[in-house]
Amino acid sequence: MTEPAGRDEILFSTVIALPSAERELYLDRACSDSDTRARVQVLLDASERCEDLILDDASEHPLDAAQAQVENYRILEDLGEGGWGTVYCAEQMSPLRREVALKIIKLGMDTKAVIIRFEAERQALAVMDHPNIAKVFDAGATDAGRPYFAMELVRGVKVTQYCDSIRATIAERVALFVQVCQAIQHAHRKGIIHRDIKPSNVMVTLCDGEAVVKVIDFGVAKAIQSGPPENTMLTVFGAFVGTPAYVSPEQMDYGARIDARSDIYSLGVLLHELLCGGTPFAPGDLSPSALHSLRSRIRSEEARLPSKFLRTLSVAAAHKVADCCRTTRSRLIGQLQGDLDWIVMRCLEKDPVKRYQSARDLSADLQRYLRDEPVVARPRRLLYSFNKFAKRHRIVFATGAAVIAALLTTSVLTSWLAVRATRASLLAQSVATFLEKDVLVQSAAGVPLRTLLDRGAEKVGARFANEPLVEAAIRSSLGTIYDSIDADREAQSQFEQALAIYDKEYGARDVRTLAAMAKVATSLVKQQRYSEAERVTLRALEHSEKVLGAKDVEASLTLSTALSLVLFEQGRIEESRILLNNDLISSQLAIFGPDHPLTLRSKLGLASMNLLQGNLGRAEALAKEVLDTRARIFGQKHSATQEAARTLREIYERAGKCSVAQDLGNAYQLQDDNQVVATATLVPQVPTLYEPYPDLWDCYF
Amino acid sequence: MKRPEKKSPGNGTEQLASAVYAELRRIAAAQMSRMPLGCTLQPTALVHEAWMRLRKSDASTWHDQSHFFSAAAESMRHILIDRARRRSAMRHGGQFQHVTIAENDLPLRLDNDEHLLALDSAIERLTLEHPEAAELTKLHCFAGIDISEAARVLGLTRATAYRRWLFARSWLYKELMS
Repeated sequence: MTEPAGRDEILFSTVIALPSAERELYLDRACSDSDTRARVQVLLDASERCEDLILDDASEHPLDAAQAQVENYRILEDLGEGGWGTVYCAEQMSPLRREVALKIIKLGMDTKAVIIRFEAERQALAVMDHPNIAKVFDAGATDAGRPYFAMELVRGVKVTQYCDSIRATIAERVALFVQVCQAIQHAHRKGIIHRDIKPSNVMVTLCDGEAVVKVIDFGVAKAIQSGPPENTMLTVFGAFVGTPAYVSPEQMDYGARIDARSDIYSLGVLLHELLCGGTPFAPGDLSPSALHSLRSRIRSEEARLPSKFLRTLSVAAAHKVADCCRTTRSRLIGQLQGDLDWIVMRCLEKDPVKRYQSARDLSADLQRYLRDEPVVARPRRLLYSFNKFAKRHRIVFATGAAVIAALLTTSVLTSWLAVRATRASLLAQSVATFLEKDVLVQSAAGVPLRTLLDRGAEKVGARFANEPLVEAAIRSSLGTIYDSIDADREAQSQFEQALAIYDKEYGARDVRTLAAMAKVATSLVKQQRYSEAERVTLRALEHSEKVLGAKDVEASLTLSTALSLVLFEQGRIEESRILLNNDLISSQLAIFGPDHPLTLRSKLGLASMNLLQGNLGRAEALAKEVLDTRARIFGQKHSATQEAARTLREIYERAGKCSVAQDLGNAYQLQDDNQVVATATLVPQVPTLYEPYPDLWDCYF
Repeated sequence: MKRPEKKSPGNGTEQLASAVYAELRRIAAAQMSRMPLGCTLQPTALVHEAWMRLRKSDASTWHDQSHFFSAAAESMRHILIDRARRRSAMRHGGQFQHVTIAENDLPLRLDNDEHLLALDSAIERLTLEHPEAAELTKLHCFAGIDISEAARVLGLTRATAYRRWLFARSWLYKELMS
């Protein structure tokens, strides 16, 4: 298919900006058909000769000679103009001769102060060494007294322009954006906050045909922005020219604390633009009144979900965006819905506390998205009622939802074992037939599983109107499949309908009803709707004790642990601790033994609670027992062992035993960062069409 | 794709364009009457004078400078192309009116009417395929605004405007050579 001619300009402009050695490779990559390539090549050839067609009065890139006299640099070429000044390609004379990018700031500001602030950060800037970061070499004053910055010369194009010009797919865009996150993460670890992340500061160059991100201008924004209030008003306004759309709400307020999370916000805006072709509060124009309203919108208005944003564009505009992503409007909306919507929204939270806490967390979530694993940035409702103290210790909680979900699933399994024996084979037959004939038979046509499920779910009610138990069994199966693909809301709906039928047919005191309750609770926990989950789990627990009694203590004990963690997630630590008291652990010890995963899970939970309540001795003893046991059973590298080791390290650190903590970290090779344990290994992975029987061990961890 | 959709030239724009056209002609005529025969018109000066007058006369209509310059470029283009057509026709007999237009005022070769007419129809085709590049071209070529100024008027960065201008020129060159 020949591409539309409208893209020629983007391709041409991109190629023109590249060094000539890279042009061929770029064209190979960007042009999907030979026609387009030939057209662009003709234009490139023409660009060499078109001078005499129209007389050009001014030279291509006029240099302002007066402002461009800089000692020790020879200015070669005007590369472009940004909000703050002009960037030149220049040759540095000493200490070594090299080509650099020279950014000369145009605003009338206190040059000395700018240079002093730059000097303050020079040491930190110097230790940054990352393939995706352009180095800043120097700062000084031009002969005309303007501040300038000398930086690594990056010959490339803006990341947004690059993506549109090669019509990068959403996955390719996300993969490229992960490089941006890695660069920012590196800087943050060195204590440098960028403060002005926007497309023109995120360039893409080609290196042997591979797209490489280069983040430029580190240290520049800080040197220019901070200062006494009067000055800041001026410079902040200056800094906003052209880039207000990328600035976090806290950066709008003088005196507000700006930290790494301000960069996370700007990263979110950039990601938003890469995914849906515009910034969340797209500025129509940059007149002062528009600027003012934009600022107040950034402060107070909630951004729309990226998929909603696309819907609000005119159909033609949305098509154009989708075309640049090599897809159609409706497919693009579908691709953004869910994970990417949530990830972007998490970055754009007004309150820095609610955003990703590091660029690494953001990039980890994007990589999860790329691997089709559940992302962390799911809508949260109650989670932030957590107290600050708990937040400091979030390692302990990081696995919360996944672990609870796994526990609840396990409680279903144990109950279900009892049901299974008595299940009529006729019922199983109906379920199997329905799923095979009505749901799966169509998959040959390449229909996505999700669509098949939706269709199946629609049919069930009518098909089995007179056989409620069959309907319930099927809904339960559908729910399980939905659950396995993390369509939690749909899973919840199926489980709730199954629960309603069992409740009606058998009453609350039945194992089937009980199992359905646990499943509903699982879906709620996965959506982090903890207070609703609490209600359902509590009800299941009450009934389980009456229904199952001594026959199935395991279900009750599992539900107890799950419930205590649900309370824990809501920050109700005291209640949680009471529930997960020593009695419960004693029962588990007696029934399952000291090495049983549930016993260990409860102990570790109790250790975390003791930590939070300051009972460090008790916390340490519990965590140490769990760690030793898990290390013995699984080895040091296993995620379960690592989890226990991180908890114990946290306890040591709280107790001020820093060297012990360090030794522990080294012994278990723990990561420095609060690395979130991949949730995928924590929830049952393999969807089966009947009931999931995942490895019980996996379930507990 | 980041810039909002440009207002399509609806009735309002046409009215404005004809107002600009009338104003440009009026200013030109006034200059002619004051000057002796064989005077030289300077398109750039005309456009700027028109801008000053119209802005003063009716502030509400001309809130948008880019709007004005587009209309001015379009009008000046009409004037120049009409003149080139008439001159081509005149050469086959008829009276020749001695109005000279300053040759170095616009970045165009005004001495070669065939060239100008061919270029104009190429710009016409550019408008169909690359409206934004054509808009910049017209501003620069017919209203005589330099690229940096045009960048400001169109709300582009200077670098983008220069690249777009280079694209437009290359495209036109290719078109005229084929």
